[in-house]
Amino acid sequence: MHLAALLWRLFLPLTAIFGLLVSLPGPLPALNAAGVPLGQVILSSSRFGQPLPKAPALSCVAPKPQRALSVQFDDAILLAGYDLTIATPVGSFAVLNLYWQAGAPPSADYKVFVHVLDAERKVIAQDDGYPVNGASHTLGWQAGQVVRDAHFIDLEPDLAPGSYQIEVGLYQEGSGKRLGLLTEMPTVSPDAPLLPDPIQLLPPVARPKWTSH
Amino acid sequence: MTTLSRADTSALPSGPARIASANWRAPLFIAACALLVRLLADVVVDPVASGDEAITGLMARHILLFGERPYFYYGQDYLGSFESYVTAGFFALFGFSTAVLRLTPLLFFSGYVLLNGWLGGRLAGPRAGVAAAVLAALGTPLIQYQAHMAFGGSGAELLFLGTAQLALALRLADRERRLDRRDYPLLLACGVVIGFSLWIHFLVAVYTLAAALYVAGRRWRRLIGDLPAYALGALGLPLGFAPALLWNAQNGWRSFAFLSFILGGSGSAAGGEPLLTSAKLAIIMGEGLVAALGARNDWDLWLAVPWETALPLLSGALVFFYALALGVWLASRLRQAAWRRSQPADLVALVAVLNLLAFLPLSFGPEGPIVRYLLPLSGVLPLAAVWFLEKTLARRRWLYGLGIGLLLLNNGYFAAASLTSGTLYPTRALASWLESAGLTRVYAGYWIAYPLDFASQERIIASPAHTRVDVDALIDMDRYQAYTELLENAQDPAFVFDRRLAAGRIFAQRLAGHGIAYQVDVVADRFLVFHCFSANPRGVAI
Repeated sequence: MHLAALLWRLFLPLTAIFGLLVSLPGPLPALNAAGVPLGQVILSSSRFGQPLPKAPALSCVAPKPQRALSVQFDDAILLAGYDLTIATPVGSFAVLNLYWQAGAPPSADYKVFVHVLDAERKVIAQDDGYPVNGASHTLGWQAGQVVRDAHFIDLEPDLAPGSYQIEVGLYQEGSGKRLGLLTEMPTVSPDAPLLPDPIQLLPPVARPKWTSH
Repeated sequence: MTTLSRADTSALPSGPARIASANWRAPLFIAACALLVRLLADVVVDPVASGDEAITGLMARHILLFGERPYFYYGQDYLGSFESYVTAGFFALFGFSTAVLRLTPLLFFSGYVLLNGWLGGRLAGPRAGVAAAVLAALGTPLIQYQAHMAFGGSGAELLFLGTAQLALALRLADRERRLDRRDYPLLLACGVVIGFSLWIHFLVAVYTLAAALYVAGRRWRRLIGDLPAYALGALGLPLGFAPALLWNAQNGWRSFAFLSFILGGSGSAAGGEPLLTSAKLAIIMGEGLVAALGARNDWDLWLAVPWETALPLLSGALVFFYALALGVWLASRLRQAAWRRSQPADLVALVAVLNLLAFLPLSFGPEGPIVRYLLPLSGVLPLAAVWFLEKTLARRRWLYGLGIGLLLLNNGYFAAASLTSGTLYPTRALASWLESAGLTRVYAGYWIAYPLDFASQERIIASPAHTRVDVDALIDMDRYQAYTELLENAQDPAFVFDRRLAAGRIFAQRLAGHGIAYQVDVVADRFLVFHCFSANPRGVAI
């Protein structure tokens, strides 16, 4: 078939079909203030996909830790486990979720410390603060309550890739006194148990630079 | 059954018509093979690769399910929505999936391969036709990425419609007489194709101008006599461009305002740009040409992947190869006695040169997207390569084959790399984690949010509507107002960040500053999901 005839037969019907498609439903799409076409949008959640669950707030239920522990501190505070993404590139940050459980309401307000240690037991990265970003002070903990406490640990870009240990613990801000450790655990410094899994620092990764059309 | 004897063959079309007919068979076979291979690849690379691709799929869903009739790609009212309408048809037939979403570009890509076979044959003979189709089927990394993903108005459609214009120009220019009523269907088809293409993507103008210059160069002596036919062709333009005209007439001619914006020198973040700065030239040569010629992967450039990933010797050889081809073309043009009359190879050179020149008036500075706008240049490389090889190595079959083989090796290397590297984000894992946690309203960056919407079939509504949730984005990526409003009304939205970017860390610091408690999870080793906030975090600037 000649090219002209092929294109003629291909494109004219396509154009006609498109013209029909856009003209059938009637009005042009409505636009919002920013000029984005809304079409025949009806703003209800059931419009998209299956009916949605009625916000059961499942996400707020503390899930089980990826690594369960039973490390008892003084003042009836238990470290019940943690989540840690083991392999993390330097120049980024690690996220460590600690799961605290109070056997009874604590008698003082404690801060949590997280230290990353090199082979010479020197602290190369850390995060200190009141639990849950300062939103959950230990004085407010109830007996039996599980508190999921996230820590962001910044890893400087000049750190050497390799395996590093992490120690955690609690202390009082004024005196700096650490809460005693009752369970026998490997430690480097007093009252600061080492987590069983070391963190693996990877070489830095390229930072993506996205654009659209 | 009637058969033709040897003597009867004199009745068959002879000369160019016969060759043209033979030229179709091998490219058709190759196009079919390319289609099958790509179909397989499209199933392997799942879920959708980017926010752009997801939006095409979401538009098709909305066309099919909710009766939307978009004229343009969401948020970019200069890219025609035709791809989404075709995809909506495929969704209706085969259901919603990433592989089905990629059927439309696959269809246009097959047409592009087919046309390359035909054009290659016209440029340099049947063998060149087959070689061009093979090179087009396994194109440069830029072609492989841009033409095989659904991008709503670019990639495969641009290549097919642009190449179709070149083919039409060849047909038109070949008429050895004044254009008359026998040519009117062809002229009208040209007008419709050009108008339709301009609605799909304005970059097609590079092809249009090349085709027009070529036809003018061939037929300038008959210009006056041809005018009625050209006038008829001009009538086809608004027919093909009708969707854009209809929309623009009622929306303040915004598509044209965009073109005026990028041509006016204010599109760059740095303000107005002079025509040619050293920085602009450096990026055209260093990033644009390098990727367009196939020496680097466009995507690797944006991801700042080190140079070692390219094939070192071949990359340098590629640039040399095409520079030599350009030189041979220039020399052949200067040598010919009838140098004023266009030759078919001029079409290819014109597209390449015009595509590069098109950057001069644009306001995109060094920080602007460049590589994808060299798609027409990349798209004519198969024709340039086969023309050059036929011109210089026609009788040295081994060297000719080696040339084609090395080009295929280079492109195949990138094709294999793209297939094995998989998708950008493990969106399916994220979707299933969010659903299991009961989180169905999500703020995330452009490259996470819309793929999440598509992967979850909109059971999860995600949008980059939050202020600068996409900390590294250059422009406002909030493309669909219906999602934005749903999120504004949501009780407990989650915030998702790429774990490698600083935005998640900054968000955590800002939450701490506001005394807002939260839970955070690392999902699929790539995402940071903030949820379960003690107070509404929407007001927290990032």
